[in-house]
Amino acid sequence: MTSRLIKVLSGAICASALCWTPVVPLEAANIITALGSCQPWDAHQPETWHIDGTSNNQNVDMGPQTMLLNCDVPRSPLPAGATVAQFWVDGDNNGSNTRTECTLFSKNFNGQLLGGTSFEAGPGTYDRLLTLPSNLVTTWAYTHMRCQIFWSGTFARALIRGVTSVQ
Amino acid sequence: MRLAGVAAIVCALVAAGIAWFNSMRTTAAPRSVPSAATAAAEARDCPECVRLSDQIAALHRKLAAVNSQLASQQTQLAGRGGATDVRTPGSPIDPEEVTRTRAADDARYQEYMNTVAQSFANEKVDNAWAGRTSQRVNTAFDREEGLRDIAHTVECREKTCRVELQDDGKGDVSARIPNMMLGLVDVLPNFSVQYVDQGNGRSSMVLYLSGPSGTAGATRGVSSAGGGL
Repeated sequence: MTSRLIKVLSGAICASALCWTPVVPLEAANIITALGSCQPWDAHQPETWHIDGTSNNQNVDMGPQTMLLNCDVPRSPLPAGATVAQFWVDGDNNGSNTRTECTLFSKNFNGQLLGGTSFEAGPGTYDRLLTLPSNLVTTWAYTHMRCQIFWSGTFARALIRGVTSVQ
Repeated sequence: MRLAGVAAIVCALVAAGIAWFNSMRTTAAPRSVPSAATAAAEARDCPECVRLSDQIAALHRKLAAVNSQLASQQTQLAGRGGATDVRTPGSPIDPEEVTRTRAADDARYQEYMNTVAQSFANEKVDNAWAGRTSQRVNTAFDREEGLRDIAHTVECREKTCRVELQDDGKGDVSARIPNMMLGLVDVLPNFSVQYVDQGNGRSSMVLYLSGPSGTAGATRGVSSAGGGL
């Protein structure tokens, strides 16, 4: 009875001591951002009903339309030894004449444009990996995405769902 | 049965040692050392306890050595290339470290852009591609309000184009470049920028535009009908 009690107590002490060992995170986790905060980039753009990157979601055919958006893409400094910065971009182009083109670009802390990469997606759901050399995404650089969406017809909808900054 | 009991006691002592070591590391609070009289009493009453205590002390020293090695590796990683960040989230930023990192980043960026420029200089010329693509680049410039009046030169070779233009220093030109790139997404989706000091207080921007890279257009398995680079 006593030896069983000793074993139980010892096991509990072992378990709690091992669980107590602190784990220190060394690298940032991925940053996943829903792009509801995209803004029309140009002052000449229509002011409302596109503000979240969603286009014509109504039963009204306004003919071919286009819109330019700017999205801020949060990120953290890259981990040690990283040679590239990677970003996943997700979205939907509903409607046969709906299309999205985006350029993801990096600006240094002093405002200097460093570089970027672009993609285009036609009708359907898209999920794209964008890669930039780490030399163009410096430790304190900011990343943004400029997108142009095209749509026409009723219920045509181009939605940029979000961006994941891979850390 | 007796053997299992002894094993459990050994485990408990090792665990207690680990716990003691952890608390020493996290709090760095001074701990009292058992007196010589206590140690002598322990040796007399429980020789096995003394042996286990020695083993725990040895483990303690090994753990300290591993910890020291880990800290050394982290320091080496932090010093490699400047683009590293091994700080724990929420830790304060040292202004001197920021200055050092920026200088290291700038050096790496300049070196990278020199490599890109050299690579372009070494590229052969495909006249058909160069003529066709130069036309596309000029059209993209003309379509972009704010860039169309900026004097620029376009030189395309086999798979890369070099565009040189005056930097206004106000950021307006930089802000328009991503728009212009949207017009070239199908032929030249990648770009990098080099700044060349003209010696008169102004600088020119040199854009290197290139075709799709190997990973462009990769997906996570979601259908993308009609899309693609």
